[in-house]
Amino acid sequence: MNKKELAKYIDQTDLTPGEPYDKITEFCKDAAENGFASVCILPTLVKTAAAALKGTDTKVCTVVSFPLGMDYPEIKEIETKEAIENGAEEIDMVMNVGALKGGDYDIVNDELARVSKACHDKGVLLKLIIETTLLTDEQIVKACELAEANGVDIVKTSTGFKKMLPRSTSVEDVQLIRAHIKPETGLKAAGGIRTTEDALKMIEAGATRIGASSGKDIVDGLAE
Amino acid sequence: MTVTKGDVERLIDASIGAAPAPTMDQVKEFVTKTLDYNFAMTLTEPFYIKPNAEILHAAGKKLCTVISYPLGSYTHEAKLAQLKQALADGADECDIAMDVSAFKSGQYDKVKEDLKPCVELMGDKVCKLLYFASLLTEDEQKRAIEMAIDLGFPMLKTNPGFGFSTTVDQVKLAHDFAGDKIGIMVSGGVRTKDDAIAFVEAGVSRIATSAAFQIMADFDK
Repeated sequence: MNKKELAKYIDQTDLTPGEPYDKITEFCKDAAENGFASVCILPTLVKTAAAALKGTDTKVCTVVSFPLGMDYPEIKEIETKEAIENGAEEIDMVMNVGALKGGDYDIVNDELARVSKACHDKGVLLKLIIETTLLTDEQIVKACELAEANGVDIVKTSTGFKKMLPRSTSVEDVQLIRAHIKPETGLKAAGGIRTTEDALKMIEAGATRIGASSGKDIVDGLAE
Repeated sequence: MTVTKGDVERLIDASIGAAPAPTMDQVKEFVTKTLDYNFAMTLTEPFYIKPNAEILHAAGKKLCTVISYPLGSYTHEAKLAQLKQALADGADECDIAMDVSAFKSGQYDKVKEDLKPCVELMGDKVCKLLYFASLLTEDEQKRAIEMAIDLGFPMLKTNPGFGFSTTVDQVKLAHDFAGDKIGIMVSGGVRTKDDAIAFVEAGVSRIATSAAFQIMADFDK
C-alpha cells in the first residue's frame, strides 16, 4: 500500500467541542490536500466543512446522537435529516448502547430503520457506532446482526470518547466484527488509533476505514 | 457560617455518572435510590425520562435532563425536537448546551437565535445554560453569562463534566459578574464534601454531581 492508498482509508477526525469555524475550514482544506476519505466533525460544523470541501473528493462526515447515543429513534432521525440538509455525505450514528445491553432490540431496530432510510433516500452513507469497548462479545455480534438487518453500510467500533470508555479499540474487536458482517459491509476502526502501525494492523484485521485525529501522522509514517 | 449536609443536599442535581450507557433498569435503580434524599433534582439522559419521571413524580420529586449534551453539538431542529420530547415526557428542568463552536467563532447572534425558542418552550420551568466555562476566556465567560441573562435563563451550568472540571475561580467570576441576576450551577469535578462546600461558599445555587451519594456519606463520617 502506498501513501495515497492509505489516505483513502482515513476519516480525518476532530470532534473536540468548541472548535471555531476558521479552524475547521483549515482542517478540511488540509484533509482534502492529503486525500483523506472524509472529514469527521460535529453536526454544528457541517455547513462550514461542506463549504470548505466543495469540489474535492473528501467527503463531509458527521456524527449523530454523539457521543452518548441516548436519544429516541425519532430524535436521531431528525438530527440525521438536518445534517444531510446541511451538507453531510456520511453519518456516523451512535447506537443506543444501553438499549442493546438491556436487550431492548426493538429500539435499536427502530432507530436503525429510521436513520438508514433517511440516509439512503439521499444517497448518504450510514455508519453505526456500536461502542465495542462497552459490550460483551455476544452483544457485539448482536449489534452486527441488527446493523446488517437494517442496511448499515459500515459498522464502526467506537466513538473514541475517551472520558467515557475503558480502553481503545483493539484488533480483536475488529476481527470479531469482521467475522459477523457481510464481506461487502464496511468496517471503521476508531478509538485510540494514532500510528501507522496501529492503522495497518486494523486494516489487516478487516477494517475498511480508519477514524483518527492524526491522519497525517499515520500516512506520513508509511515507508515509501 | 457552617455549610451543613442539608444545605448541600438541597442543592444537588444527582446524575448516575460512573456507568456509561446504562440500561433502563440501571437508571431506574439509580433514580429509586435518589428518592431517599432531598436532592433538588435527579438527572437522566433524554431516552430515560418518561418512566423515571413517573417514579420521581409519584414521590414528589423532580427530574432534570440535558439537551445537546455533552458537547453542545446538536443542530437547531434536533435540539428543539429533543427539548419538546423531554418536556412531553415529564422533565421538570432542562440543562441546555449552547452552540459553543458558533460562540467561539464570534457568532453571538446565531447562538442566541438557536437558544431563544428553547427558553420560550420552557415556560415557567427552570432551564440552565451550559456555557462551557472551561473552553472560554474570562471575557467570553462574561459575554456568555450576559447572553444567558438577556435570554431569560434563570440559571447557568458551568461545564458538562466528562473531564471538563469547574474551578472555584470560574464560579467566583460568574458570581461577581452577575450578582443575583442568575443562579449558578457548578458542574464538572465536584466529587467530595470539601468540593461541594468550597463551591457553596463561592456562591453556587446548585451542584451537579455524579458523586451525590458519596458526598452525602462524607458528611456522616
